[in-house]
Amino acid sequence: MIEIRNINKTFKTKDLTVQACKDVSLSIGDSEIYGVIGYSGAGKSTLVRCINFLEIPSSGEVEIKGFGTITSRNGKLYYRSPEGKEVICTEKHLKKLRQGIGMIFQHFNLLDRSTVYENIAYPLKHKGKSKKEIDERVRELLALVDLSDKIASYPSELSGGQKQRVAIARALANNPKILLSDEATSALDPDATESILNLLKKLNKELGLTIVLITHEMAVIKSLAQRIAVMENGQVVEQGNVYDIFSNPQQKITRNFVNASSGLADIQELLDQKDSVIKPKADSQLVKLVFNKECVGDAIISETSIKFNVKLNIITANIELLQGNPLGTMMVYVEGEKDSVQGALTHLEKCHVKVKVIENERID
Amino acid sequence: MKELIEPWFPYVAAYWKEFIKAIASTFQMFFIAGLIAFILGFVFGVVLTVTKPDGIKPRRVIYRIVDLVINIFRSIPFIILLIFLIPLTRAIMGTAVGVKGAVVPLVFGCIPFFTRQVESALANIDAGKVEAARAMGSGTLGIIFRVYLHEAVPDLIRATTITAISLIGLTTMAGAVGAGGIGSFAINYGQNQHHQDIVNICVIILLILVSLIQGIGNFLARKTTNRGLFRKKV
Repeated sequence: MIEIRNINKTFKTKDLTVQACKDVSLSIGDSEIYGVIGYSGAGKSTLVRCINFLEIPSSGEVEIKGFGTITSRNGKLYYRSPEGKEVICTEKHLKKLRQGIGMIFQHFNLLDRSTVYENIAYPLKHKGKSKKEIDERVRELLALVDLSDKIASYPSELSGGQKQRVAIARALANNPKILLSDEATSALDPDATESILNLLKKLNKELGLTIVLITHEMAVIKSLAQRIAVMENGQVVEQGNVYDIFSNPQQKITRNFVNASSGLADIQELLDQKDSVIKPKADSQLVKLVFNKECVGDAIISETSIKFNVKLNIITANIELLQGNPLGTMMVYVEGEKDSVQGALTHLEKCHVKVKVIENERID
Repeated sequence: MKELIEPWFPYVAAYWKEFIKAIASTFQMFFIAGLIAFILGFVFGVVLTVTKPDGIKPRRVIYRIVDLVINIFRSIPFIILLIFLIPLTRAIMGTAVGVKGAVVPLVFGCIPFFTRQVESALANIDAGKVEAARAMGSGTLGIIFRVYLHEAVPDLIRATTITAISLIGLTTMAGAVGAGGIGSFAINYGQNQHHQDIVNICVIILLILVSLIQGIGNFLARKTTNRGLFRKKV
């Protein structure tokens, strides 16, 4: 649906040059929910704005299925139609592109002096549509986001979650195939976040909407995304299926995100404080076990304990659902003879458990 | 009316015809200069907002020129501006005295003030709203009319109110150099001839005028700030 190729974006001020995106390439499929995660300043907002050209990339190109390709080359924009004819890209092309891509924001960005109805009608007006058509579409959209009773309210009378629903309805007014979400739940309380995420899920399923999700909240990615890209310093450092990334993170920053969301970051804190709760015995070894979908249901721990005559002291255990698949993480002290410990760990690995021996009490 | 105020303001009654003419002149200057300044100041304010470096259509040269001209005329005290513009006024209006002669300097004195007010009202519009409009495919004109001017209405009304009040002040100053109106009535018939009652009534009239403008402005600004109270039916 969206092909991002070699996007670079440099911001220049008088005495500072910031490269917000460095050679970013992503391929986002039809009806996919694609998450982009990173700390603030990683360049994810810039990247998503390059998709609808709110930011003009310094170089690179974006192809949108059914629309064509816009290329930024030597400070100029070119538009290539699906048939392959290339022309100079004008404001008209950008307008058409943007009308085919909905976007929602962290702070909703509704017009305060307009009612919910007028806000949703905004993108429908001045397009040769009759009053009646607009009216019907607005009511349809309000029903879709479950807010029909607020049709005459002003944004100041709505809660954060309701405002974001209005923003979603507005973004979908012209039946876009793509929705860009820039930290859409970051300003919301947990309940509202949950309801917005469910709404996005529903839209993805019912309308086949492709959603590009920018966030720094791991929980959002976990509940929604099918594939993710991890961004750091303007670069995509890791990308892939969300389950694979969570069960086997490669980069330090990815492990930080995963650990924070699975509670391992807290354990590290306890280790650092030498807290009595997790004081290790003399001949014990701290290991991290990751149970993926192949083994998460089995009684591997007690099996191993009996078979190798080792004690497994569980410090923390956690299970997460990613795209409906369970992923278990466990921190365990293994106590026993050196050989039996080794045997036990080998056995665990044989059972498809990912074993990571923690040295020097540093969870990484 | 004349009989009513005669006991308190004997000299006003004596110069009744001149008094009425002065009020009429002030109104003329106020509305003619005000209308022109309103339109031009409005346009310049929008132009500055749109063309500024981080505006929706950055145009360095246009921005710099308008900004510079506004700054120059803003830094000239009005009383100096009045005499400075006399040759220009003569060229445009054929005369430098009377209501006709006052309109040109009043417009020049008022535009920079109003332009800055409009600019600051539009600067209050959240950049996020503008970005959202761009994301929905709105062009420059669409964003100006449907986001900037639409969202800024209460602030623009407040800006207009403040400018109108300051324009009243300017008309009286123009009176000092021969434009007529309440200002010159107060100086020529009140101050110069030691008729304190004439000065007093000028103060009262100006007071009423300013309060009236402020009141109307406040009312309209409140009315256009959308809260649940002022709900349109859908």
